[in-house]
Amino acid sequence: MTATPSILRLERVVFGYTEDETVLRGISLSIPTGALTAILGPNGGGKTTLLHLLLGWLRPRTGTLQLQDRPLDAFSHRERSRLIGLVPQSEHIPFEFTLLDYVLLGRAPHLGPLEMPGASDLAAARQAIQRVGLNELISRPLTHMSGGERQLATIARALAQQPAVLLLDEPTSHLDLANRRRVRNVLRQLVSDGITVICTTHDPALAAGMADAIVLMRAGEVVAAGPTETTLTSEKLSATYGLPVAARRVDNEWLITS
Amino acid sequence: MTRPPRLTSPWLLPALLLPLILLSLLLGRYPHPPGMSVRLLWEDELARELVWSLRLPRVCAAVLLGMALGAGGAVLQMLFRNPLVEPGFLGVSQGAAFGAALAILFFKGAIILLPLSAGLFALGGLALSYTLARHLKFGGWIMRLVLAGIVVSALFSSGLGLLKSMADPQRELPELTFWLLGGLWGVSWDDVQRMVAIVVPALIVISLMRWRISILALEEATAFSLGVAAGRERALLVVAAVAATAAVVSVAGMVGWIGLLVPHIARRLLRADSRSSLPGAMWLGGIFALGCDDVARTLTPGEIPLGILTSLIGAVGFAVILMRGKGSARE
Repeated sequence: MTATPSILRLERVVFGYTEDETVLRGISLSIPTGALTAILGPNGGGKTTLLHLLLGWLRPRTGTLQLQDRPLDAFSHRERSRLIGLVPQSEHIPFEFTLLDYVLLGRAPHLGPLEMPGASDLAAARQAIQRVGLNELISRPLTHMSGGERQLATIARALAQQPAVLLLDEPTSHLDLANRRRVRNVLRQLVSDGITVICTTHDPALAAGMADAIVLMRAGEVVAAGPTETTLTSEKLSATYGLPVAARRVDNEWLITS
Repeated sequence: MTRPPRLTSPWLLPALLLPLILLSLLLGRYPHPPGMSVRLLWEDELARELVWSLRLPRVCAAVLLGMALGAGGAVLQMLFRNPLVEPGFLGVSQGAAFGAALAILFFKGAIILLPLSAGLFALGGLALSYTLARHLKFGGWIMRLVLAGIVVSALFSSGLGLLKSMADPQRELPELTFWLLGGLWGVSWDDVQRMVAIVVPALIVISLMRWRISILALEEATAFSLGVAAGRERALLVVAAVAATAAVVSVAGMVGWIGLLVPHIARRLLRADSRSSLPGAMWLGGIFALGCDDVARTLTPGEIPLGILTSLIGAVGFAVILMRGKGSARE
């Protein structure tokens, strides 16, 4: 991936939550700018941890992370929050926030601690809602939405930040087929609008169906990384999942069987 | 989806509170229930004295109490992402009561120690509930918080029982017991001053952060991704809410359920967004507490303890909200 410019670069990143436990064992990676990168691998392989490192929420024990060719640590917390948005696996507010009020929370990086959102923030929130196609639900409480709608709402909340990079943790793992397609289409649209999208998933079919680049991860290590066509091979997938996986392209569609 | 009509103007609740305050000054058992006329206030020296030195401080205390507990409850519910939280559920009220009782028994002379001790033990109660909840191996986060709160509250209750058994049955015990029932009889301007000194700054902090607090209700990593120093801001808000509660408890004793019920009603009446629901809970708390206290001191010749009245109304009201479903308590 040396040909495409990279927005995030990791070098020999090692991380563990405690002293005697290592979750990531020396990750070196380049994430291409303006593409959709899927971090693919079995559960418990350190995918979410890697996402939290990219966010700056966790700090590596050793190794370096660079965002736009600057060390991630050199950015202030506020600067970072204007550049990187996060969509966690499931986001839940136990109160009846309307979609608009909820998405408006994404404006926080652009506002001071005691500032209230104003007209321009409202406009940004409405635009974010429009981008995920939920205009008609703008004043509906989140508690009255389906799982798919809520996932799109969370994406809109992160888009209201107007980030350059969007991180998503298993964005479709608990969605049905129709909603998966909906989320995928929204993410593809964001990429063509110039946003760098990085999502974790344990589902090779999902990664194959939407990613430009793939990072295969297993047990805290990168098995392989690169453009989808060259990375999603039977051999590499089998090594990642520890069982025989076959990947073929039939009529421009990926077919993955195990 | 049918919804109850919502209050659209943010000024409606404070506008309601003002006439209620004026009315409350006339309400009472002097010269005879339900109260005096405005004319009497002109003619009767005693009536004026009564309103100034008894009713007005009491009305102020009731409003402050309701505002503190309503806003405090709303803050804790948001921060703990738990619509079932109120100061009483997390060991805050019981901690404050224990601390206050401790001060009453052992540091009788030093009036300044009472709110201090109440505040210290209130924070301690909250910290203990939170820590315990993190270590419980049972149920989800909401369930664990409620359980931990029950445990810590019970610990403080038994401590309180111990203090009672040590109290002098002739002098201290009746005072302590009556104080614990919760009420505002005999509130003086001094009490009001001490409440104002803590409650008003706390409410200002809470009001200023009324939008920000919604972000703190999101998960840690998400709040971080939005550029919020969640730990610091959360601590500030918790201290504000707990200090306000402790200040109120140290004057009025245990007045329960306001912090649980009022934020629920505020969210339904206004919007769940804390920009409206948080000030809403504050004003509504003031109205609710003042209304209850008016009833408590006017209805019967002997006074009904305020805490008993708020518990009665609060518990019934909460049951009604939960039974009607689709409330803000749903997960």
